[in-house]
Amino acid sequence: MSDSVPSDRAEPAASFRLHCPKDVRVVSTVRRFATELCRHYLHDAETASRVGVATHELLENAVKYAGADEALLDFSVTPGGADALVDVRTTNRASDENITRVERLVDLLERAELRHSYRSMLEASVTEPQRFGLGLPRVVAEAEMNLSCEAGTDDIEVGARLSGTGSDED
Amino acid sequence: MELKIERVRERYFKAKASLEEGQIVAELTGTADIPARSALQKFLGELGDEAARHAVSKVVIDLYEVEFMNSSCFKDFVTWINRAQGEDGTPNYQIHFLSSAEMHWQKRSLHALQSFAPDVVSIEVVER
Repeated sequence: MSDSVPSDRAEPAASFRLHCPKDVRVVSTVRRFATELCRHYLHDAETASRVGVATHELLENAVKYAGADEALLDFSVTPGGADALVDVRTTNRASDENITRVERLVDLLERAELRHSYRSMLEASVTEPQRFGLGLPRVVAEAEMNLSCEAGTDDIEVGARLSGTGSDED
Repeated sequence: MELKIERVRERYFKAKASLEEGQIVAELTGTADIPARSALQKFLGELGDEAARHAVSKVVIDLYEVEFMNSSCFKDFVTWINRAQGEDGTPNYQIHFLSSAEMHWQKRSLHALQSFAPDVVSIEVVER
């Protein structure tokens, strides 16, 4: 389930909502924009790149599984050095099967011990290629962001949150 | 001998390979995401076949100008590297990645590939 934001948290410096059409070519354009937005507010190219990875993987999944419908992206960035926060959330229509699959995967990935098992996931992607995608594992292992998901009746919201940056200059 | 590896000329992704002093050098540029995936899969398949046919000891993958790679294309590299590991555990050839320090995703993704196949994969950060 999604984490709640503490009430004393600063307001985001920038946020946007994107209604994304069923066009995967748009995803890279959005990734570049999200990356640049983070670079501007957080002054940390490495962190911005991690957010770019998460934005790309989440939005690509959302567009891919939304069927004929559009996918939604909600993005916000709050500067603050160690208190900085970046939220990336996608919402898309999804089948019961997809919702169950994503819920299980997010639950698996958020277990602390599996954060260090990226290699075994890479191996599983070879032995069970149809079962194992690497999009969400990559968000946890490479982007080092926390995943959450919340299922609706016929849609699913998947979130990635980054807390703190390596820069004190924002 | 000529390499039988078709050059990739997608709108936002390009790849080409050449045989140089007993090794194959593959140069990739652009964005490796869904629109580029089928071309990348074909390219990697041909790269593996040609590495075997020419019995090269090393394949160099130049990613210096690859702006981004999505998880599907990354997975194709995992599969390709797994194939290079050889069935008896002896690598068929070494895979050497050239990367850019400016492309921050490369550091994390290539580190993951090296952890996956430490006897096969090496990484070099280059400056141009």
